[in-house]
Amino acid sequence: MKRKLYNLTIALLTISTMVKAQTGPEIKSGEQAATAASTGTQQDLLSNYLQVAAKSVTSSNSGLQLKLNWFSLNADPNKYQDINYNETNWQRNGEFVGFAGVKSWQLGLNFNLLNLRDTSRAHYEKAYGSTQDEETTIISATVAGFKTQVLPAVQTPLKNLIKGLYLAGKPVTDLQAQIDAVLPGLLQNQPLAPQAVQSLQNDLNDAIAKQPGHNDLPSDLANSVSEVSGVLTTSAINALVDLYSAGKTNNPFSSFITAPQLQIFQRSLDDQVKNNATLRQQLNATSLADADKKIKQKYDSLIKYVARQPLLTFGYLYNQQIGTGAPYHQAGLTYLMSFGSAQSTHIGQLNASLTDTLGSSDPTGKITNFDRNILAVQAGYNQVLIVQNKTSLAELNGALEEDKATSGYIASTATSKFYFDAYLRFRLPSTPWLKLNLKYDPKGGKVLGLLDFTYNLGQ
Amino acid sequence: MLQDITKLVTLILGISVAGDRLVTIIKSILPWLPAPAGTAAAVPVTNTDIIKKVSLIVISFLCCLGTTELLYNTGNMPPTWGQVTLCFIALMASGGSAFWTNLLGYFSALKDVSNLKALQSKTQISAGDYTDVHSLGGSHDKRVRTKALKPVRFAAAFSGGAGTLAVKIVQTGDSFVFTADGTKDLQLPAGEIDFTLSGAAAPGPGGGVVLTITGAKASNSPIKFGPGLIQAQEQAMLV
Repeated sequence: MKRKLYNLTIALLTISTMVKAQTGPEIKSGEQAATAASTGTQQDLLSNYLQVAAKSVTSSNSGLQLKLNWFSLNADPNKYQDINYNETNWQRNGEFVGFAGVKSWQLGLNFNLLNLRDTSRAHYEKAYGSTQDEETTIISATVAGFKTQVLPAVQTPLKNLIKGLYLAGKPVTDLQAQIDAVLPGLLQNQPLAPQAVQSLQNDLNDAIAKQPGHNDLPSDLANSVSEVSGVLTTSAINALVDLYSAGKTNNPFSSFITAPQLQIFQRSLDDQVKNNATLRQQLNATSLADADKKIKQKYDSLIKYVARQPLLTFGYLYNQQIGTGAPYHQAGLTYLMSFGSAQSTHIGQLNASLTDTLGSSDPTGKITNFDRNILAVQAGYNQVLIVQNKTSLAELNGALEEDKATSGYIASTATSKFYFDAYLRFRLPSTPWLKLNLKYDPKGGKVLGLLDFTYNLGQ
Repeated sequence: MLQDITKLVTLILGISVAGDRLVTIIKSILPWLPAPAGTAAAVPVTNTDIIKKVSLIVISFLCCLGTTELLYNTGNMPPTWGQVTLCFIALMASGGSAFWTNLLGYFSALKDVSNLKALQSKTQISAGDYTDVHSLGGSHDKRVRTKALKPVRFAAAFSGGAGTLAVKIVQTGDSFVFTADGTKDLQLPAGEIDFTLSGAAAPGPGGGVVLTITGAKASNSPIKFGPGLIQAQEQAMLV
């Protein structure tokens, strides 16, 4: 037993590591945060991408189960493009299920009949629309004000440089290097800088070609200097805003923006955020970075809320015994709904299922006639017990189950059975779920315990 | 200020209308409650009538309070408002939707007048800005002529699901929101153009949005955003 447990665990971890290695680096996004926070019950019902599980490792019919979302099988390299993605909604709602065990194998599929929990199709403007609108207004107004202070420090040396080159009367081919020398840092990390400098260089060379020896800059060239120095200055200030929003206070433009100037600018941004009625009411934000952080929190919460919307899956499974035992077909519907607000972490979930199993009435399993039908109804409640870093780490599920044979009765076997099902699952962050299943038959007084390891991959 | 008041009146009106509906439902369940005021005025006032009317006022207040609490708990009201504020709003809403409808009409008219004045002053400011910029160059007339309009195209391409990309042009006030792949053509004045970007790309794997700008002399195009929220920001370009 110990050896089997060891082998299955190693196999599971090896497969999950191999698959994860092929999916590339993780992209931290709200959706993945939602996936991390989704419950094990939800992941069991429909995998996001790929799920590998070592099932019933303590029983004699242990094996490996693989669930593969249909979208993960789509080999189109452009499958994420807008139109292609819209046309493949159905793929993200379905999965193939395969199981290979010691005594049996299974093949089947699950399909989500409700399309409420697709976080990639939902709109989240409520989380950021009005607040970001206020932010952009504040940013553009503050940048415009600050630009008037900074512009002379860029425009004057640039104008002097261009005037010198113009009066020299020789075509210029290295304007970018010359600007770098006069205003170090101005052109760094600004994607538009090469185009803007090239435009200015063209205007300069045109002016040199037209009016050699003229003592002052032609108005067209003077305008070009004003425009280019303006756009580069604004772009540099915008880069500073981006840095500050991300919580960074470094100044890559210290050659023309002093530290005290930058501090006043940053304080001005924060003051405007603090004094903005919308940002105060909706976010209680104290600074630009704080506003961004709180908008992100609202956005992530809303994604998680969408991810918790009801799920109704139809599933089919064909089971073939290895050696003795007749095969059976199993089809069913499973419904899962969550309770709790967008901010809730310790959520509760109601799950209910109706399953029909068509198998053989021959207890020896030698006759395959599919004449025995068993209808099973199960209703339960799943509670998240432990949450760490917004990730569910432990869950307890209790359920009642009634199985009733509607045809193909077997002598000396009860036509209906009642069970109390429970399972406890737990994991460490970024490790597979360990799930302990318990099935109790009150009449027979039997307890059946099974152990599963389940590993989910979000992408 | 006027906008805030209008929002508040609209909120109270909504609560009031919902409260009225609830009272109507309760009245249909409890037929012994008095008929609406106006028909009841002609009937001689007795102690029973007074009790019924007071009951109706209390029920109306409770209905409005319930509606207010519901709106508050679903995040439709500022979270900083306390229970006393909610009770006060419910009390005002229980006064009847007709009063709040009239008040909203009054504030809407007032707002229209304010907007008109703001538009007039904005137009004057815009003209002044252009005059100032032009006079810096010392060749006012020529600068105006060179301030030609240039066609600029903004094209957005989304991937990995739904998203939004809001674009606001600072100099012209143009604003538009992309919610799917598409283009927006604008005629923009030559020179520096600043624009703000905000929104979100689809949050899942493969989520993203790319903004491509054509027609500009210099820009950061293509501007690429990965999955999730797009940080509110400003960009500059040379048209």
